[in-house]
Amino acid sequence: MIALEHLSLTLGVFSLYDISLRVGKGEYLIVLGPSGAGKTVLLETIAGLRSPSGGTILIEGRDVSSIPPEQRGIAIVYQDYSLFPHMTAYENIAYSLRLRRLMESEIGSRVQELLARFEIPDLPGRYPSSLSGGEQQRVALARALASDPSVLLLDEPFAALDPRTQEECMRILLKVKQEQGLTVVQVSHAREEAFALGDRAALIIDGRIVQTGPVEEIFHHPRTPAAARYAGIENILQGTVVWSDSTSLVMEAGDQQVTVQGSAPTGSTVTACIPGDRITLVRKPRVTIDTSVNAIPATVADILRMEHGVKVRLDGTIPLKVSVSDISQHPYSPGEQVTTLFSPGDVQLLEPDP
Amino acid sequence: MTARTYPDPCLIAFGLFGSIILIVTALALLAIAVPELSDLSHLVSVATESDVIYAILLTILAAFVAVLFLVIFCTPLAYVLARSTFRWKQIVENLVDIPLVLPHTVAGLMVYLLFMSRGPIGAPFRSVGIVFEDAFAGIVVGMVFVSSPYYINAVREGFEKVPVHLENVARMLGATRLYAFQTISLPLTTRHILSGSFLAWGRAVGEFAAVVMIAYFPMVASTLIYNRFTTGGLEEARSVAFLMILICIAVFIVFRWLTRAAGRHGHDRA
Repeated sequence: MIALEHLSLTLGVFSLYDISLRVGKGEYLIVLGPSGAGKTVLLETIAGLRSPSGGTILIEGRDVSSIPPEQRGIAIVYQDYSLFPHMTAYENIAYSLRLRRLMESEIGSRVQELLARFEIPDLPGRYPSSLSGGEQQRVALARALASDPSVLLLDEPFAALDPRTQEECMRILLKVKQEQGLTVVQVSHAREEAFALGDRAALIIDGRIVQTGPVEEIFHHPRTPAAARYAGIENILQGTVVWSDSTSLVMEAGDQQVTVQGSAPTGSTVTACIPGDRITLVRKPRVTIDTSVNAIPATVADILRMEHGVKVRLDGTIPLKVSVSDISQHPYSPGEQVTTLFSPGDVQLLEPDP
Repeated sequence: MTARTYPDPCLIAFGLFGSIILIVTALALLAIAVPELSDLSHLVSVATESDVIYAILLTILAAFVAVLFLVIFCTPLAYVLARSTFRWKQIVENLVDIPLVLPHTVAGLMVYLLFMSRGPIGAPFRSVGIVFEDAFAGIVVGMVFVSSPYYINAVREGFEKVPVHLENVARMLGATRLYAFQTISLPLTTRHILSGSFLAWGRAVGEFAAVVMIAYFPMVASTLIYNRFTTGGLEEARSVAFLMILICIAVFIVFRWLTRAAGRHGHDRA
């Protein structure tokens, strides 16, 4: 188990602030965040490659804050795999075994076992420069696991692979992780990787952990405006609460009133987000709109074609972006007057950014 | 039909412009080689003189010892400069480069002041029987002083080219920093160490002013050439100079072969 308690670190103009995080034994934690958020620095701090200016790092209950990296029982795999270029695949995997002064026959059988496990039995004599990205990745993982680590740190290990190889590598990694009961912390900014691999995720933005929880929660129920933006939710509204009861409130944003599920004192300023795919666009409501649904008039500003449908940008008192999947039935054009409909349950209240 | 390729006029112009220096070098070589090769008997007689053989062997050996000293003491310094940031780093870097910008007579004077029998380093060494003035040790320190920036900067560049991730991974696999240095950084810098050593050796072999200040005797090749020029005339000096050229070309060929071999064995692939 890994426990970070109030960890802080300053690196030139960049800082990690008061990071507290727990990773359970055998858990797969994904550290998410935009580029430059501090994900790799956090990973290298856990590894002992950077010295924190405050806080403690506990691994299996032992304070390792002042223990050198080679004694922490942690292995790391970088995005570029960092295979030793002057050594063959065999020598790369055997590196940690030689450090333990094992017999050459024992090293040989262990390397063969790892090569088989990662489905690369024919590579031992080849140098990294002659291996494909997927093969290098597997050798790097095999090398990391050869040292029998209790924790495996992965820094965007699949980022440079094509989708098919990515999938194969993820499958092998999950299998090995389950067999060995490894604790894994992986840095990523790929949504698919997080859903495929992570038991839980931590979102780090500007050196601060802004949210931890199940991967789905990070992407579907962001806690702060920055987390919402990271999750791809572009509609973030700020307004004043003009009415509220215990389950819902009405906020005034622009000159529109928006009903939101949740509670906040009347008169307070609140921030909320609405996922673009939860908004429905209609030209002219044929029936009287249900008063329990928010209906905001807007004008189509522009339309951007996406892989699945289009993204419609709307001007109005509340500028919104709406994802429309079935565009064939709604051929909108710029300048057109429309009404946006969304349920109060789809509007999520956010906490302020730290 | 194969497409006809036209040479780039810009590259041709640059090549012609740059070839001026090559022409001068080639002419300089010819100016020595032609008269020497046309009078082989004189060349052989000079080459077999004991003074000449001694001076050439002394130069090669002293330069080799100077390079050995640089490899042992300056490789760790190059690593520190490549890998760490510290408060006074800029000052250390300037200190490393000082011999590059000094007139060689000034460098020689500095070496002499430091290593003469009454100097701050020379005096304690003299008390244990090691003398630098007019001695082999003096030649070596003069050579080390002027050639050190060439070695340190070349090797530092080599260490900088080794991705720090490789060392990080090695450490996470259980290696100490020293073991990671020995097994990862050092082998991957072999070519730079070789080229730094060659540069430094070439610089050391060619040094005259810094060496002559502290050790006119025993005469190294450059001192002997100067001595022959002032006492025996141009012809005497030219034969010794031509012999040095042949030796340096031979060393250069061996060096190229070594660096190519280092590349073949997987080094410097980082």
